[in-house]
Amino acid sequence: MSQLRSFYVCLLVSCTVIAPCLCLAESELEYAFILKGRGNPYWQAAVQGIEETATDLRISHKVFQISSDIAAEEQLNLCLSVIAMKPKMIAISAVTPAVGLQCMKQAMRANVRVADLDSNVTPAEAASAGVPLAFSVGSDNYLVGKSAADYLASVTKTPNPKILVLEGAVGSVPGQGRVRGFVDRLRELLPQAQQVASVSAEWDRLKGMNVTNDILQREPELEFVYAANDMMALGAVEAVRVAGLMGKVQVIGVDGTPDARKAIEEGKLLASVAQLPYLIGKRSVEKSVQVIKGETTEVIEKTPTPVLHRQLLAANTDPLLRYVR
Amino acid sequence: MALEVRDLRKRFGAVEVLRGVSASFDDGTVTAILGDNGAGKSTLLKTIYGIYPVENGTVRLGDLDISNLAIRERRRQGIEMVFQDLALTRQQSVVANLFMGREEVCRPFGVLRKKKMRAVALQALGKLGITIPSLERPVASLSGGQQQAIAIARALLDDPKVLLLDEPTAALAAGEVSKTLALIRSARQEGKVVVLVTHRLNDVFEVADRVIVMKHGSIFSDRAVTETSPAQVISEIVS
Amino acid sequence: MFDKLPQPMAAAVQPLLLLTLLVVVFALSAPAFLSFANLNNVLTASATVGLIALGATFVIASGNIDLSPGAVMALSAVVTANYAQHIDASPVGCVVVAGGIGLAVGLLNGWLISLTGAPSFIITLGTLSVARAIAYIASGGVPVYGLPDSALIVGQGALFGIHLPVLILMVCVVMSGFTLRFTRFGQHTLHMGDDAKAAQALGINLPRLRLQIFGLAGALAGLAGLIFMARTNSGDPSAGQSYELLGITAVILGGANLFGGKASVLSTFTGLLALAVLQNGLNLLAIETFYQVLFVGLVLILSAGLRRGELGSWR
Repeated sequence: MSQLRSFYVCLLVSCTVIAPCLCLAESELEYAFILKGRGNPYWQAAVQGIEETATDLRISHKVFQISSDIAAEEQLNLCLSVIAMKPKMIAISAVTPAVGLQCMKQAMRANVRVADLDSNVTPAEAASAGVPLAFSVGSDNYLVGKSAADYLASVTKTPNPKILVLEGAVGSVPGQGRVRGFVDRLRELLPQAQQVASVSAEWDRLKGMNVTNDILQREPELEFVYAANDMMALGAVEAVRVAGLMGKVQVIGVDGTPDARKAIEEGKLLASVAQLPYLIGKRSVEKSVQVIKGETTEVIEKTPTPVLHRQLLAANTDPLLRYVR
Repeated sequence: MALEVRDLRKRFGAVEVLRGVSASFDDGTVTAILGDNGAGKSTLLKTIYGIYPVENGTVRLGDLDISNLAIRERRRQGIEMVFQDLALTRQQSVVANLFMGREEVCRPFGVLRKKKMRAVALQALGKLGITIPSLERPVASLSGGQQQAIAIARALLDDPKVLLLDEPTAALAAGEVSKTLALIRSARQEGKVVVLVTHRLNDVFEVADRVIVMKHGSIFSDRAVTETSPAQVISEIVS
Repeated sequence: MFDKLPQPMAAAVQPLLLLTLLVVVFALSAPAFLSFANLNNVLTASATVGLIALGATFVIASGNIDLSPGAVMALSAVVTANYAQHIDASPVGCVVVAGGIGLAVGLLNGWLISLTGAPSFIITLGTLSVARAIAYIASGGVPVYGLPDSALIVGQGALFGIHLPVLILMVCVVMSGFTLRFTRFGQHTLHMGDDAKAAQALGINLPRLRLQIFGLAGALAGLAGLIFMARTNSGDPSAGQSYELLGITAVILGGANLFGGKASVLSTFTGLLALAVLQNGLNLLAIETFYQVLFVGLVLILSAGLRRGELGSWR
């Protein structure tokens, strides 16, 4: 009896599964885009760029995502599933270079063209692993860090400001690039600047706030905070506000997220180096189509990283601003 | 081959539960231990069996000092116990319970000899006159009386020398009690040492040869059953 | 209706129904689903979680919970990656090191539980943090990349077209299935989970048994870490986040009693496959990740609901 009941419940479960599945079961897939974590606004903007451009170009495409930005094996499993669907092209934003290469190798074996999205695998790395990358499109995190340092140097009033650096998650490659670019450039421009601490706040808003708070106890003379993403930057802004140091401590973030732009317009955040994920998504679609059509396209394309600050946003004349989502 | 305890002491924190208990139990004799709650009856039984380590005093089986042996080794020496809560694992099969802690295995990987255990179990249950619907059924599916029977059968399975029973009839219906008492009698006839802790005076005078009354962790009286009466025992317990 | 089946098969009937239904649904809606390559993928994808689920089967059967396997995976991946880079990259050496690391943490778990008398949940919650921290410290937080090819065979090799992780999983499934059902160790594990006090009263050596159970679970988690390392070509200190929960999910989907005494490897394996098929099928249909997680949750709750009372209830 209970077995029979369980059968019906299973039927019920599967019906709830079937309904959306049948709606989504589509014809042939040509372009697959494998991204990272679903919850991150950065990837949401990239998905928007991909979707809108793909709709304009009328291509058969799908965007696949994983549960978090660090789920390496999950992404590998996803990639293998996607390859089984036999698309013509896979553009992947790999969780780690190793996973990206692994996925690309498998795709090559199934005669699927592969590309790098968001500069996680360099063409040189791919080539040494025997994978010809169709293209690599993304911003250069090292240049992002440099832009931030350039901007900081242009606004500082003293030659030796005290600076706190909030790093991303330990071991994150883009995070390290952003910090190294910043630190290297700063050393050239402001050799006397004092970096009071460089610690990880794990990309997290609350941790960004806590770390900044702690450092402010020790260094009330702090002048700048450079955070490797906007989440941490906004956390730092909160800490500064609570400490009553608004205007004395300036915060620079990275990404140019909507929240960050709002904070810039309100004068809470000094600046954010925009990554333009929308543009990265858009370009990856356009370049994928070029590759499949046999047209030539640049193998390495670095998307621009404009520094968003109050005047720039107020003027609203920079053509890149339309890619800021 | 008698069981003998000498000067057993045991404390739980500040409470002294056994205060130097000495007694010997003879083969082919049923000894009933009576006493109020907290008199130390159960503790005495569990110390003999090895649930509680012997901290002071000795437990001897014949010439062998078993005071420092683990339960497993005491069982191998022929001491078995039937617990008040039966100590059955109720999601496991009847066979698994009968052989718990004493499985028949092939070396070196400890692979269970399921067929052999089934056969031995069938034979043992048959000998004791216990009928169970299926040996593979989980114990939880059996009635309370059947579970009790399994617990006693487990204690008798390997023909022990000493059988310790802690309140074996407390939770049983009248018909089942007489079956249990019959099993105790036949154990006596086989020459086993039987020690019975119970609250039920009727059982005592039906089956025991000797009555020990315990009080505050010591032996208060120790008589042959023929030399005492229920009324006297009760007055000793409550006095 | 299924009463006459031998016990382990009867236990696997419910997850089997679920699995069958999922397979039918996806075979109908996703054309790529039934291809050999994809089914190979399904199994490969479930290898790491599968090994953890096998260990969890024993741990849960014994009435315990082990929260450390995900972290043990990371530790084993990091240490084995370093070992492969600097000392010896032979597959056998890697297996020994990875299994040894896992075994060591597992034994530590078992020993600490017996020593402190604390619930396994607390102790393994502790070792979870400790193992994860050591993985981060040992790697400096940076994944170890670029391993010698021979160290990757375990994850990327294949035999007769079947991926090695799948074969490893299969061998472990058969061996642990036999162990749980046909050996004294397995029987004692079930006794202990059923009623630890009774098991102890009958002379079963619980501290030793705990060492064996957690040691086994640890070694399997270490092996899972090796497969993770070899598949992703990196010793990643962030590997295996919350894999222990996926493993426990598979065990529970299989119908084990969360409070011990009832578990079967066959059921766990069926539950594992249901989980893997669900994930793979939803991937093929490009269902958003958040909905995948939702489905896993719904399936778990529903399957628990229709086995009310059997999984170990408070009533």
